[in-house]
Amino acid sequence: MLRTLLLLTLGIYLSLTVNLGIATASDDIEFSGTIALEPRWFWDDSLFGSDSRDKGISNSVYVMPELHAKLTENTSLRLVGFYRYDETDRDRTRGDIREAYLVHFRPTPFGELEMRVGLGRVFWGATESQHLIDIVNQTDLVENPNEEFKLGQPMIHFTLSTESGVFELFGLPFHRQRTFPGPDGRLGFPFLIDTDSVVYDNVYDERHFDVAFRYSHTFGYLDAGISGFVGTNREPSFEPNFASGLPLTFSPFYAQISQTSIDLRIQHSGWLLKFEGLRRTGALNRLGNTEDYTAFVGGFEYSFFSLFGTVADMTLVAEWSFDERRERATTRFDNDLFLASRVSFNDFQGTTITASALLGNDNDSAIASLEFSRRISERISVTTELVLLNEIASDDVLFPLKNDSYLEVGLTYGF
Amino acid sequence: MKKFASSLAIVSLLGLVFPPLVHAETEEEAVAKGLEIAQTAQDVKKGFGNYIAKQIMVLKDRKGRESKRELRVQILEVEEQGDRILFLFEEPRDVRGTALLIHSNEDQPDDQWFFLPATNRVTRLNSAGQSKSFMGSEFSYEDMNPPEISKFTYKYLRDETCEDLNCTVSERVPVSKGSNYSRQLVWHDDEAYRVWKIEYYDRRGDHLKTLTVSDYEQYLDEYWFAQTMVMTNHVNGKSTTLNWSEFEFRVDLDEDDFTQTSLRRTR
Repeated sequence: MLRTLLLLTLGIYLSLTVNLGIATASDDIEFSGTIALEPRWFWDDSLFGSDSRDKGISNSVYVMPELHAKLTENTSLRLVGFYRYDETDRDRTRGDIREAYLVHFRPTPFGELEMRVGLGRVFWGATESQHLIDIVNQTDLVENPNEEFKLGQPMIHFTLSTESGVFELFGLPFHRQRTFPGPDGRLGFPFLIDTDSVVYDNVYDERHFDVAFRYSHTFGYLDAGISGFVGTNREPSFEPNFASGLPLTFSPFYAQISQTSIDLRIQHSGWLLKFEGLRRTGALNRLGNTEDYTAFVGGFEYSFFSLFGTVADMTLVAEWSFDERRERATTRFDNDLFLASRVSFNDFQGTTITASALLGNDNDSAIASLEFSRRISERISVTTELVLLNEIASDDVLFPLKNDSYLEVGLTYGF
Repeated sequence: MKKFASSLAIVSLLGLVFPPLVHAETEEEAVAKGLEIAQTAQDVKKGFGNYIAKQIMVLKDRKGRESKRELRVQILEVEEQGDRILFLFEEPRDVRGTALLIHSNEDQPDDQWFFLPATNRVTRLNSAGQSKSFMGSEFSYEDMNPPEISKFTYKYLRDETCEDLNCTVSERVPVSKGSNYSRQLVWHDDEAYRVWKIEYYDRRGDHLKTLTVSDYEQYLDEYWFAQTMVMTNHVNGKSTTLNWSEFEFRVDLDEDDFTQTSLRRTR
């Protein structure tokens, strides 16, 4: 299904780009994209797995072409392709359609109505340390362990923007599986995940029709949202697959869940307060039992402008994540404190440095990262990411990644 | 020499305490005239409806090195409220697709939202960050926002020639405590109330920046828009030139094109 979609999109893409001579001259069709070289250096051998998970440098490159076409005054088409080649991890070498949708909008007596059909990306949330309530799109975990990257989600999405808020309705006809590092890739699991033997908790398998809604509004200093989702969980559990013989593999299991959430942002004189909270029913906990739970993440951001009399500014972030399942939680955010400091130099090169740490309150786990980005020309920029995982406690969900600290130096070219 | 300098200082101090008697206006008259000039300048600009334009920013540092930014700008007038402004970033490539939406407010800080295309995320900008540089240029966010009448108190100072025209020089003092400036001096011509120069003074009272405006062109047989704006920073020696072009007026834009929902559609 996905392969067909990908080929189809590439086909449309190529046929459109053949006409590029005319296309780029016009305002109505825009073609652009990014190519990036992203080698990662792991200085320790992995705790588990094959020799290919030993220390060393792993090269990787991706290309992300984008096409935006204005079809009529109120209708446009957007295509974003993605392909990554990874030297060591076959499962990280893959293509995806990040976005491929038609969007149309028109005025109605209640306000403007917008309709989107196709593969899209939707973001829900307010906080920085984790995107707790952001459930519409599946996480592209093999891309980066930070869970910031998402797969394109097939959807029909209606948005009605009225005087009294924005109402959104989503029809999600197809579930996409989470991606995982393969047996040869770093930041992987100690066991093999067989995504071909996926198990769904409903008779329609991945074709279960999920629905979601969202209401959001701005009340003075406050931006607030209420969202709901009923359908197939994006986060899998793992079941041993005894039929596969040895070595034993595990099948991802996707439960049917429902989720209700709120998100808040309050902004006042330099302070930004943020909160996300959810109630999820039907999901399995770390022990494999169904357990309904409440989780939240909240905190603040404070910005200092004109740092030391320069044009630089610094933002401090502190967030607390809590999951009432605690040690039975399936994520690392069971009871953790997140601290970060971001310095923007506001120079020609747009230099920024972000340092962050996630500290466990229930155990002694600590994860730290340091990011640096800077433009070196109008089209080329450098992004560096240092991720330190060696202080993860043995009872932590992320313990298998203890030896997977890495340094990534990315070179990105925009066309 | 030192003595000479200090007596000069005393003379200029005297000048501050006892303003030259050439200007016969009383304080109240100067304030009323300052407000009147600002109000007229605002009124003659009203009624264009909306426009789109291209903006090229050239940033120059002390050593003369240059860096370029390219943006598309959409502006909508809203009756009884402040303007709506949308900046769409085109160059450099790493910020392409980023959009900034401003809802200018008469009597409270402006609302500003950023759209980041990589995550499809709309985030509200901290209103305390008015002094923050806009895209690394010498224009701050505060400088990019429309100077609504109620954001300042005014005072007419004197007449002066500028660009072969008769100009008035007025002082305006930002009402907001969050402003980066203690005061600004504005040069308006008598003919069409166009702004030709603005001097910005920081919170300590020092002359921080000067904006010079030129290449005015008339659109719709009525409205004057400048094609060139140069902001010079006297403290760090850097400057930024804004070149406006490709103006299109009264296009198909309304309030629905300046919402958080439409912001997600800019890509």
